[in-house]
Amino acid sequence: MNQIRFFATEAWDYLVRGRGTSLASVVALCAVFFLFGLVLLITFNVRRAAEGLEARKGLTVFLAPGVSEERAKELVNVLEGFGEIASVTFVSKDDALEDLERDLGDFPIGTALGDNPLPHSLLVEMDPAARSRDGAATALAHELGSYEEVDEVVYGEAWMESLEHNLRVVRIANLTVGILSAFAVVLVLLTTLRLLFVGRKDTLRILKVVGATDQFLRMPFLFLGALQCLLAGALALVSLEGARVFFEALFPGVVPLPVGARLTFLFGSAVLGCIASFVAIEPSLRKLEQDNDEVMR
Amino acid sequence: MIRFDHVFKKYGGARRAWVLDDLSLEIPTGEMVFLLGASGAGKTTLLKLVTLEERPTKGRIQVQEFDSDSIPKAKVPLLRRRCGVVYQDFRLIRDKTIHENLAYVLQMTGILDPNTLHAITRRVLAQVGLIAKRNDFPDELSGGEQQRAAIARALVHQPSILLADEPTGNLDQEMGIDILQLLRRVNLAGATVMVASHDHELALRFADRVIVLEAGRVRTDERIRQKRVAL
Repeated sequence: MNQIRFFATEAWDYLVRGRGTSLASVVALCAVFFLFGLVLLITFNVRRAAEGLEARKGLTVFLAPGVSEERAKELVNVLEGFGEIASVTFVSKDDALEDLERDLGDFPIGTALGDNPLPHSLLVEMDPAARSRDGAATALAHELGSYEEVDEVVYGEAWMESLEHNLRVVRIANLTVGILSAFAVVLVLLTTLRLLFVGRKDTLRILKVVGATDQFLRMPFLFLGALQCLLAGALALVSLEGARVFFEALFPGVVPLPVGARLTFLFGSAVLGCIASFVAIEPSLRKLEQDNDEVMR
Repeated sequence: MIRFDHVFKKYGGARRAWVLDDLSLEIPTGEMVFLLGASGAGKTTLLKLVTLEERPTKGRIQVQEFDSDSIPKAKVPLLRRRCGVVYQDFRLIRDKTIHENLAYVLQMTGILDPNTLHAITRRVLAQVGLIAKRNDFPDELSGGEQQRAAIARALVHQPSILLADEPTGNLDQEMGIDILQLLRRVNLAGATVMVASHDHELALRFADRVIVLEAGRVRTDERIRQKRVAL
């Protein structure tokens, strides 16, 4: 515990002494984390919307004109016996007309036409296990379409498959942006920590010749990298909330990342900072003794 | 025990002259040795070789159980922690107070408790007469005070080997004698002390043994009989 406090204090000291460089570093890191966070936020909201659509995924079976309400209800009983069907809801032609008029802003289309042209229909919800099987909805639609009472079966399988494909693309984009962000973090820390290292070189040389291990010299830099990334991550999350509020004004329903994801984001930032600092500092540290020989001569 | 076994040292290219030229010597534990010689004789290089701050070009150096031929890189800091070194140019950390300069040496050995650190640094700074300056930065001290701060840093972790490169170079005679008396006390407490100097008079007064170097070779190696000076 004492060691952690010591290295954290040293890191803070480095941060304050090199405040100009540290500030530039935190701002640059914040920009990187913000971009990554933005992609995460968009992905999260797209996924959430897609899951909502997924939940509504089903088939609408329009019955042929002339099929009576009684026959339609018999069909409901038959279809409910199918293993891949979770539920069947009967929608009478009158209910369908009401829904249509509501969708059209209470325009009295029934009065205008004089007669209700809509058929009875059945809303078929598939069993989740069956729904996840490729081509299951298509097969069921074909089967339902073979009934003589059925006029047409409408379902969004192709659209959903396209959505799934697009979500895969978004996930790959996420991964790509994540990797690029990690590279960018290493690059930023490579520049700023090395600058700081050069500024502290005399001190580090002295410590080395009086018995400091590489670990003793390295740790404050690792803590510093973690600290800078933690600060940048926190700032990025605040900026991200600002961006979310802005998006919400344009697209209502945009929600923030869950608390767990935000904490993981912060923790991940600190770990990334630690790793990036190691990558940035290690070659300079290895060169220190050689340089020392040259300078002290 | 410190042993140099046919040690050669050269800096830079092959055309450069040997700084140490086939140097062999053995310094038993607890001895106080003065290395005398003109500038360029190899005194500073010899001290740097003890801590492996420099590596021999040829030959072998043994310091206690450490051997220059076989010591792994990771163990070099352990060897250095057995030594306290007073550098000619002090090598104090400019942006740390004197207390912090001393504390660093203890912190790297794992002593991290602030109260313990303060207690130890106060004791050592009192020994060199710098207790009032413990919160000053090196640049706020005179040359002599910096020299004493450097000595305090070399002593703070109670090393078993003390190496001092011209430790009285920046001090007046009275202070120089005070410092050498301090080094002598450290020696009498059991530490091996090697002092690089060009002051024959002080060497004869404080040393158990005087080694004179010339062009990287031992010219004379003499035991001084009046070993215990009045302290």
